[in-house]
Amino acid sequence: MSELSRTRARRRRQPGGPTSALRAGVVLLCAFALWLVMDSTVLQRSSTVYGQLGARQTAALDILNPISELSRAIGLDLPVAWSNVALSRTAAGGVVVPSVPTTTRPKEPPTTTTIQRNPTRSHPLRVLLVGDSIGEDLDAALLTDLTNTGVAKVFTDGRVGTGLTRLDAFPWIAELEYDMYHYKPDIVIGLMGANDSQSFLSPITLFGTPQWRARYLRNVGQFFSAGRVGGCKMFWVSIPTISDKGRNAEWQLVRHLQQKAAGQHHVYFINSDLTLAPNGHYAAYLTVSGQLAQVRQSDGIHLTPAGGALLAQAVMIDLKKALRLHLHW
Amino acid sequence: MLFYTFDFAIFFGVVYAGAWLLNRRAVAWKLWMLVASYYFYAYWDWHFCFLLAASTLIAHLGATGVSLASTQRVRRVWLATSIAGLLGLLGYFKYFSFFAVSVDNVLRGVGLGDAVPLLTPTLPVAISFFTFMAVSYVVDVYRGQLKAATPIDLAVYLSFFPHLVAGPIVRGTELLPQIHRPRDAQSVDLARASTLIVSGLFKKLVVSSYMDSQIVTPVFGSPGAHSALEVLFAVWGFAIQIYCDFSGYTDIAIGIALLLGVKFPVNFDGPYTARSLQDFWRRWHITLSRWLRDYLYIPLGGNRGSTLLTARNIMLTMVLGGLWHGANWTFLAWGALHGVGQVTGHLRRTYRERQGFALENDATFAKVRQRFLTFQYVSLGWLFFRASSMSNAYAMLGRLFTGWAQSSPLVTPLLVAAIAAVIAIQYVPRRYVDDAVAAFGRAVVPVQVAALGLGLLCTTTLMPAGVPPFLYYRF
Repeated sequence: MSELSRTRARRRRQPGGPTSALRAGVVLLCAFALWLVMDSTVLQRSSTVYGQLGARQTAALDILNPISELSRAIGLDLPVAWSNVALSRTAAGGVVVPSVPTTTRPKEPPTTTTIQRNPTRSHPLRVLLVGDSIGEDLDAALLTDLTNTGVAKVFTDGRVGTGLTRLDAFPWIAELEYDMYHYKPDIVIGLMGANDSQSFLSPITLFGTPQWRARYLRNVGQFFSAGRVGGCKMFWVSIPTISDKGRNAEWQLVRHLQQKAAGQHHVYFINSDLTLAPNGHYAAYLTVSGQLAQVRQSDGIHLTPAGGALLAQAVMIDLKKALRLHLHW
Repeated sequence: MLFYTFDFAIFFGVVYAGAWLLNRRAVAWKLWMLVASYYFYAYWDWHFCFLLAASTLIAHLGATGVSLASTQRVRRVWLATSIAGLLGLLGYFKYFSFFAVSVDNVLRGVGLGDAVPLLTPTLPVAISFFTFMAVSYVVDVYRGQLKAATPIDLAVYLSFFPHLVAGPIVRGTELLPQIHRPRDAQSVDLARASTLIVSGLFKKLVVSSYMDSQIVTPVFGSPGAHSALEVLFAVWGFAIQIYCDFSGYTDIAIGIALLLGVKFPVNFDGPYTARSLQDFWRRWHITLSRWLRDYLYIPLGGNRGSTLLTARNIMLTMVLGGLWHGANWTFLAWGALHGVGQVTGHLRRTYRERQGFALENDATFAKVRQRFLTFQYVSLGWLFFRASSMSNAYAMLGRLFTGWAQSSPLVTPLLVAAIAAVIAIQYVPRRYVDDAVAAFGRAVVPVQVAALGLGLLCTTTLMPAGVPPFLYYRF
């Protein structure tokens, strides 16, 4: 018996010692399979909701659908379903937005404004900031500027990777309705759309088609209506021009439809490109207060803190001008 | 490709099977691992593979040149040239924008316009890690601690996917021999590997994500809108977040490597139990600390000179260690803060030595005090590390002194319990962890399967929606 064989035999005898690659592989595979079966309803939902149309999603669902059915049939999905409900999610892990009591649901937006032009510390302006990841880049700076006025109470609701196309992934309209009920803002400021240039699922509506345009316009319109209830003023900041020209062309359609919906729903539309792309094309660097600064992150999409601050300044000026507010920051 | 995705699970299943099937065929195993690692890296952006290959080529040429050079002077030239090449690539991708903006602003001030072109190179994932590994390889060959490896061995060493993206920073002396000889297919440490992977996933997906969404991002995003207590907990929360995020990542990396029969060095060892900053750096990101010690601090002179020179060397090492994370004043401040702390500790030790006092006070209360103060100092450093800018850091600090009248809705009992639990777990003696791992190893297959499956299930069920990427990916 060689020394190597003796060492191996000794290791095998040791309690809790190393094992063979084959046995380890079997244990890992079975554990993965167990997890897959028990979590399949959540995975199935994730593939449907977060996936993009295409072969990848089809393949994932072809595998997950029968596993999920099996899991449901033998009740292996129950521990996860119960846990999700206990964690205030749907049984399949979806987002549960608290519903607005129907008795308090406001009617159509009134035509006259109720905004006080001289907000004070005791009667502050209530501002709600909503957005996707680029929206969050803006919101961080906007929140600072608004807080610095000393007369604004700011609420934020940012959700990375969401938008107004795939409301099945995140129910933004219901979320905003609840935010309006819960925070009772005077002003809503939003920036969203970076994830909207994609097809709708259930029913499938391909991006860019006339049907897609109509459906997206409807979603944006409903969102804007939700943000205008109770006389609330809404400001919408367009998604800025990005470095990828191909993708930017897709985003142009999103911008155009958002602007159209804003006009229809009396929402103030702020063109972010006037600030971030002053020469009509993408700019990674701009002069801010006489100093050169990088305003876009290296992905060519998101804003740096300097970029967020620059755009927030523009929004604050528009806000003040449009509502004739007396704000100092 | 992120470790916690379905894509990675499938990728790893294929790589695992292939690696053990080809284990006895040295060249085939290396080629398999090389293709797998480059595929893994290309998943982010295939263009970056050329950068990884370029770094490998520079390191290979440098090490070969050093090995074949006939005189010391020529060896030095090869060493300097290859290090300059490696650091040049790192510098361009990581620091160019900062450099260009700073220089152009100065030139504008004197009316010379924008002389440096304003490019925006995309920061390649992992560049800091594989650059440091490549530098250490060339230096080790120069020092005679390592023989120049074959191109394929070196390529596998630098690109080996478990460590590629965020470490640990493995030395050539540790990894190259394991690549060179076949791994023992009868000796896979499943118990330790699976424990590390599941606990790493839990730390990252559940704890780190919770800290981020519950308190860190909201408070750092707008300190002025939050109370002093929330700011304090956001800073502590970030200390927990970065620990769970980074140590979670390295736990998974070490576990994955173990499953492939490869051992990585330990990278974290209960860092928040440290009694001093020096102790902290023996426990935090250990592979970076020893890299900085062996390839920067000691070549600068270490503690061999006067007290002043030692202080200079400590400060330089810590500041450069800070800048390694990125071109930002906040990282510089973080490094400087640790440098000042370490210098102070060094002066204190020197003084106590000269006076004939015991170096450490081992009374129970003293230990508690030392640990508490070290954690607070480290947390102060994390405040700068996490802040988006120096003004953001100052706003956080200012709020600590002014915002005590407000309510603190973000400081929930669950948050306090989670922070306390993560710190408390670091005090669990090693032998208990080892006993638990051994018990898992002794269990029969169905029990192991059930434990692992349920561990994964627990993690994926408890994790919040929208898990942010690993913090150290951007470094």
